[in-house]
Amino acid sequence: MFKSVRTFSSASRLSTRSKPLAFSNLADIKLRAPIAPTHKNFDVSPDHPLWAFFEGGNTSKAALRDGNDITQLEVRPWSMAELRRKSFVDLHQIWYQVLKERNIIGTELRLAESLEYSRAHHHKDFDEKLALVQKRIKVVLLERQTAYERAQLLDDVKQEYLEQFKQRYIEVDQANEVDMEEKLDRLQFAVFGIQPDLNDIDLEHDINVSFIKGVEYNAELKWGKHLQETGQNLAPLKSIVEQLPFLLKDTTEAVEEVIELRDSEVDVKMDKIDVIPFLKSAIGNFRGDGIEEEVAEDI
Amino acid sequence: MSVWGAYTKRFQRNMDKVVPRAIGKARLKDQNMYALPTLEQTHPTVPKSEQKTKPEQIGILAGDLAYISEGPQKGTISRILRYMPEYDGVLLMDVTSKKLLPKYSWMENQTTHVFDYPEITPLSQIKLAAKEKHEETGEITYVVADELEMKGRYFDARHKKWLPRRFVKNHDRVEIPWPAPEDPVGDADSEQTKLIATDSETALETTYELQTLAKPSIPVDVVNELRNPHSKYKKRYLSEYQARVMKAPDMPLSNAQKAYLAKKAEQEAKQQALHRGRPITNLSEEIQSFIGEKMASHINKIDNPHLLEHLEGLSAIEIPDFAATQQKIRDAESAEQKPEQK
Repeated sequence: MFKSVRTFSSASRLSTRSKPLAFSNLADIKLRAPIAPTHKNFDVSPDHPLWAFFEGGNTSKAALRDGNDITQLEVRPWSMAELRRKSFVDLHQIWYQVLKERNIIGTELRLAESLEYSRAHHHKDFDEKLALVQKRIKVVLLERQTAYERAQLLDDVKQEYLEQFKQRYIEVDQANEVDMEEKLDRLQFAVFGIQPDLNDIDLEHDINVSFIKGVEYNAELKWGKHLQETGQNLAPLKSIVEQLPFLLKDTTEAVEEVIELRDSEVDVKMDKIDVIPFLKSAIGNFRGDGIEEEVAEDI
Repeated sequence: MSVWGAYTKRFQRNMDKVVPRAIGKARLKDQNMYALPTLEQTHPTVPKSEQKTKPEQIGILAGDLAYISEGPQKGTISRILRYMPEYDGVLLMDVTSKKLLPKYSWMENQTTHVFDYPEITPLSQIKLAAKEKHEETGEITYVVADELEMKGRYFDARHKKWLPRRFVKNHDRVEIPWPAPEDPVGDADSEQTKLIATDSETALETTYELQTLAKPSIPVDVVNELRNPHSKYKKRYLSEYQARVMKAPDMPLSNAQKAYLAKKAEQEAKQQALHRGRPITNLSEEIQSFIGEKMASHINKIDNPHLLEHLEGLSAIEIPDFAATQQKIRDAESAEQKPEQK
């Protein structure tokens, strides 16, 4: 099984010198001072990403802080109340700031372990504070998600409020009309997710069933109010084609458009599957989304 | 989320996970193996999950007076220097012992190896005391609370937090106020603190406001990072194993049960055969005349000609089921008559 005689491999035999090593022109060779094997002889780029693992970045003087220095930091973890005020972007930033700080502590603790440094418990205590912040951020985000999911089950409450608002909207006196319009804008965003400014609507993601319901509700309100004011006896709005103008334009313009549509006797019936593509193209055209691109192509 | 410091070793037991009480004296002995003489630890540590951290749990704060109720110093009233949650004990100003300190840990102006070092007194061996000065005579008396009672809460401006009010139990009028806080250890104005801490204005700034119920407040992809999408508690179907576990097995029947069931099945079969063979016969003369009389008496009471006409119309309608039943009766009668003819 085992070779009893050890031999050099053929490759090593081939690479051996056939003649002994000899220097020529010894006079030309200049002796230089030896280069000591120390870290000071290495240049590290100040942009090196690993500097982020040291307290003070590329200006760090030491890789391990004194434990007593850490106790001198007068800090406390972010409280839940403070974190609840912060937007997702802010929480994201705090998370990564904390993570960077924890990475520094982690580096120091690893070093402290190998050096058997006795005051590393200060580092650990500080790390616990940082970990607590991360836990709290998770809890705050989950609270928001849970609240959103529970709100989806409040259909009856929403419907009741929408009915009440409809009554108030139709019966409002002239002095409070502007106020009511603003309220309607806010309600549209709060309940149906329709942005008050048309240009803020994301055609890819925002147009969904809830959006369609919002358009329907908005049109029903304005049409109802128009009929109330003028005393006309017209049929209720039939389809999304008649309802959409109330979202895009003023009530008077929208009413004119609906009457024009009815006069022209165009078939406004639309299958459910066609509604979302119709809304996307109609809102896009109204905003003039496609126009700039076409002009650019022509040029 | 683990804390960086609590790293684990592959081939070594993680002592942080072992409840200190369970290993008790053995651990103390281990810890004291390398301790300097006179500096051995005598009090077992409290597990982290059982440590008290809030003033209302502990009942005392640094700066309070304590009456020592047990041990050699019994009867002494002393000031509390510090509460140590890991030992559930306090360091008192007057409870010290002589320790031998090596030169490298000498304090400033220390000239001898012998040093008065504070000893830990367990919380169970002290009672909260309070000093009271008589308004007129200026005489100082002490109140010792056997037990404490926390009631209500108020915002303490000195501690900058909400604290409960502290009373001697069963003596609602004897309140012992919390002591003033000690000077903070850290330095709030240092360069290092300023670098790492967020200033109060930024911390209190509100950047989140719920404006819509129609859209989630956090990106959809984040949800799966916060919750476990593969959790076994969220699965909507059972694995074969789980289904088998939940279903009780069919128990084998005893011989007596089998015999009983066989007998019962036989009886049911007999009954059914009997019922199936029973012929439908016409009503007897007597019954027919009885029903006819009843109906005649009802119809004779009716005065309304329209109703009578209606009933006449109804009787003319042929009901298919009725006709079928009549046919069956006729068949049965003819079947009865045939054997008689033979």
